[in-house]
Amino acid sequence: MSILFGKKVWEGGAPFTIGAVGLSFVVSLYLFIDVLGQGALGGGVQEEIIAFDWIPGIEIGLLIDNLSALLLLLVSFLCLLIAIYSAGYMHDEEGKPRYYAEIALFTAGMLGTVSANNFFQLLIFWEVMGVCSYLLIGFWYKKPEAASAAKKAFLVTRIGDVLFLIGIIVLFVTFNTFNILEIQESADQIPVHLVAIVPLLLFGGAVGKSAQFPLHVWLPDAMEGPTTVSALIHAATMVKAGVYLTARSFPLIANSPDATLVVAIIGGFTAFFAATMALVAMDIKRVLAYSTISQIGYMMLGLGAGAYLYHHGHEALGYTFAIFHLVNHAFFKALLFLGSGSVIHSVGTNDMRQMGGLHKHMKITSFTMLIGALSIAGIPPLSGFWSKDGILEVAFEAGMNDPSFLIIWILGIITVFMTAFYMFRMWFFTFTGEKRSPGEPHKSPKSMTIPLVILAAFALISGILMFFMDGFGQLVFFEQAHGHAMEEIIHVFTNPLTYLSVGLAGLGIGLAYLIYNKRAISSNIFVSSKGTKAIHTMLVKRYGMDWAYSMFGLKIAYGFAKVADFFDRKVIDGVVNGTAKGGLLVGKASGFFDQKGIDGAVNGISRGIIGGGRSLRRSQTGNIQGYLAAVVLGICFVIAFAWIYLKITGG
Amino acid sequence: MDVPLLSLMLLIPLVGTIITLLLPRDSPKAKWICLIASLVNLLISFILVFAFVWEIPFALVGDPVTGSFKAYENADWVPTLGMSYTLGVDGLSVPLILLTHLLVALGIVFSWKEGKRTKEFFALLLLMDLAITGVFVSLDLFLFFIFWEFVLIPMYFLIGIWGGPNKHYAAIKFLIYTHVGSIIMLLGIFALYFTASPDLTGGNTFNLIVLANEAGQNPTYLGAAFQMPVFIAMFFGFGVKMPMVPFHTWLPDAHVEAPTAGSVILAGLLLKMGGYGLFRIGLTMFPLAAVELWWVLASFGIVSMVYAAFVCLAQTDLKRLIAYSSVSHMGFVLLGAASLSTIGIMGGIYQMFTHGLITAVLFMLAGVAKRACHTREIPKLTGLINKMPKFSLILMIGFFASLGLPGLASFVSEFMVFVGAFGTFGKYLIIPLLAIIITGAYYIWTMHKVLFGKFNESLGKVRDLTRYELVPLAILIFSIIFFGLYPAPVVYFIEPYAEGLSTLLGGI
Repeated sequence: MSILFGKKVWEGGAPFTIGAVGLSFVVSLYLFIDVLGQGALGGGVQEEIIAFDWIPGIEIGLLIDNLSALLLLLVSFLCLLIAIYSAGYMHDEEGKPRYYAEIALFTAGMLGTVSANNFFQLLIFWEVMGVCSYLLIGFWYKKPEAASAAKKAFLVTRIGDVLFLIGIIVLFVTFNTFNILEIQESADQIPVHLVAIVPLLLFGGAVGKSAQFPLHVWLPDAMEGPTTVSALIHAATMVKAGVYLTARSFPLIANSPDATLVVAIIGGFTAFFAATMALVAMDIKRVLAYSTISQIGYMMLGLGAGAYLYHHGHEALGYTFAIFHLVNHAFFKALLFLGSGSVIHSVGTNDMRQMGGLHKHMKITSFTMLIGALSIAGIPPLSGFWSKDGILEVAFEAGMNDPSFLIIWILGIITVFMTAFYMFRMWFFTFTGEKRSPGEPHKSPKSMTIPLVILAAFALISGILMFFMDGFGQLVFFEQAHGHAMEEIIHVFTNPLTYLSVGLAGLGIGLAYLIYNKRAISSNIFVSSKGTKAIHTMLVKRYGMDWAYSMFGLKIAYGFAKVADFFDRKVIDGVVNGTAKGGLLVGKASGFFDQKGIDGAVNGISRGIIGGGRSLRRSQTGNIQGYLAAVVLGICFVIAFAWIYLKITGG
Repeated sequence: MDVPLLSLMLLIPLVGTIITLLLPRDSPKAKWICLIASLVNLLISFILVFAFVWEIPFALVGDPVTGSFKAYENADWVPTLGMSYTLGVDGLSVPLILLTHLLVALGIVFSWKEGKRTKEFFALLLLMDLAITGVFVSLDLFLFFIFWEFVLIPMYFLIGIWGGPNKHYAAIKFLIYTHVGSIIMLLGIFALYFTASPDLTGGNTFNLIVLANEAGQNPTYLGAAFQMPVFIAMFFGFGVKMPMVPFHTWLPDAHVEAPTAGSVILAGLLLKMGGYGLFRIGLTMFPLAAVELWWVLASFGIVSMVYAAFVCLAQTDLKRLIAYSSVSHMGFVLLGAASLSTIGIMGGIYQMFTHGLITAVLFMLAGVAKRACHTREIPKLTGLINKMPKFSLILMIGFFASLGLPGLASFVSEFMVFVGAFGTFGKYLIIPLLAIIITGAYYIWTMHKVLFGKFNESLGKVRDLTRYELVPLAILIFSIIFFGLYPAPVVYFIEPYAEGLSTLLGGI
């Protein structure tokens, strides 16, 4: 499928990309139906298609099972919508062939990642995505911020990639194969000293790609790219690849309770941490970026807690809910990004302070984004509710066994409140109140609004889709299908936790309404006292982490490089040149010796000493290079003499 | 009928050089003759490759002693001293021979517009081809050493005549430094000659196959007391050539001053001689020492990788940066060799091949930057993507390839090296992996500076790639992508070799 793509890629132009992505959607749909037809519901299908031996021992092939079939369908569908949307959004931009080629390659990278049958192949496509994201974030390369953001994205994810690479190497050395299925099957035979570290190395790759703490810093900056690219990165590709990888290494993670805890802590903490930064962001896209980081954190939390429970003999419900949240998030986040793109397209700025009152001007965008916001906030019956609630419930259940998970659950439940608050802060800021934008906002073209409506429809119903076909748990599960639709619904509505999280979400929306719509409470309360102002500043500065990273890069790494360069030029090369000069001197001296013979020896030596004194003086007054060289040479000579002396005296 | 393919491969550049030098000054025919000669050689190396794969009998005289060398040729030279004219190739040398002829031919095309003393310039490039090929095909240590030293002469003139402002210093430094390395290596060769020669007739021999056989039958022959010092002497010679930190400082100077084609051959091929010698002589002849001293190889390799990568981060001259990146990347070869495992050795050899392709691209690009913008200073080169789109695209692919992006050639080799090294070093692998991150950082940083942002108007009118620049670059980029996606053709050659070598080393 992706090879099919490769050929189309370089021809440029929207129709080609849309056509190619559309084609892959059709193929994915066929595959999905095929997988369903083979009894995927409740049973699970695993089919490997081996293409050829790449180099002996490594086979290239596809792995189609429930998970990859679903994700192929999802990715190609969203990419198709985004490509269509781009036709409107990117209408006036230069370099469209480049844009469409990179979008198509990006899609191919994601499709390749989720359909690879071995980790090696997965890594290749994974990096294809990395390059495409680099190119697309830096699409407006004339803007220095865009180029810097691209650089940052590549380097930060690269750190994760190196961990992933080590993980794959360790896996290969341990199991002597890259094949995902074979590794999954023999996961429990992993040696004891590797049991925790291997899944965490793989997870390291996911942390980089999915922008989890502490490698989250690239994602907010990545907003410098076109909005469609943000939608692509956040909804369909890139950050979801990390979740996919974690899901694929689920059995490895589940082997080690420590690893499950780390995954859950990173996930839960990131969810909380990113949400706090979203509270104060003024750039509409950055709010969404932080919300993505936060929501991905939920998915990781679900996987971690699910793996923990699975380890202790429960059903792996967390796995199902995490993937379910991935699907739901894909719809509402694509919706929100494309909606914000529509807003930006219309008012020409990202800054929410210059928006406001847009509801009158762009009703479709406004309504669809409202659906997205409600969905992400977790208001039933919209999609986000079902999956987020499931994840929190899994975390709570794990918390019953291990109090650490309970703390994570508390973080998660606070995040529900914050999510509702910042999403509605954004919505009220943008669409209600007075108009603050300078020009007259214009409506977005059909190619932009139609994908919005489609996505809104999915955001509305994808949660309920869960109950078709006897529940999502029948489609995506680990080892054993679980849950039937009716039982699920009854369970959800009889659980007090559900009411807690919905209540908190409602509270968040209400508070946002009072502050940003009714203005009943002044938003200045956040900066009124010293303590809250300090927190506010800290959040605006993103906890200083970006600063710390750039300091590290600039001062430490670059400083070290400068020192190394100096060392290289002056010391090492100084020794070389010094040795050469020394050799020259010896040559001259011996020539001198030959000329004058033994008779002139005394004279010669004295002259030599004078000459040596002169050159010593020169090296003291001269440049540091000669000086250092002399020092090193001197040390060498002393050591050599000492050694010879010891040899002679010692016998 | 036996066709002496390897002798032909040596004869053609020799004849080509002589004809070129006999031509009148400024004759336009000179470069054509050189190009044709190099293309014929490229053709022969392809024939060699296919003959190897399909085992075509006419080209491959079986080797009487071990059977592992193909295209074997043997003639007496100075029999009383045990010197012979013995040539042959195996899985180690075939990829390198192919690389040699490819890079020389492309280097000639790239320098097509060279205006200064054209005749001599192209003749010297062809002479380089002869010398380097000689190193890779000689199976007699004395012959090997002659070619090894002969390589220095054309390169010395290439730097000394066509070089930049500081060319005399660089040329002399290059010559003397690597010569010192060679002399110490020669001591090792003599030690081997006088001590290890065993041979049935009682005389001493330089014949590599005979010597290797002895080591193969009894890897601990002559004991550690002999193997260790001789191995170290040899290793020093190869290490200077490769080059490894801290014996690398001749390289950046030589590169900065050398003309582009000279740099391409220097980095693409000369450095590979060091790696080739390490495998062909170092590991093969002194298995005991190699097994005992693997940590020395590994340390030098890791220091080269990490240290040189850091130094790269501080460079402002594009060409100097690429030169240091070569030092860093050749560290992978050492690390692969030090792993003593099949996959690590394979990775080391494949790294030589891929690095040859990639570094050629990078040096050509540095040459283009100098030609178009009259400077290689990274701070002055900004926003080139606005004016030089083709250059920028190739630069991106080249940089991504060099930083080891999956799907491009060097990823495969680096991955193999790491897999091999992990088996040997375990968790200490994290140190060399640091080099990958730093490598990513300096390339991305450079790309950011050079390509993006606003064009520096003070550079004036810049011209994108000319035809003569585009063709070699396109061929190389194609190869980089091809061997990244499908490494099997090269693996076919190096796998049996690496397996044999690791079996030998494992037998201790």
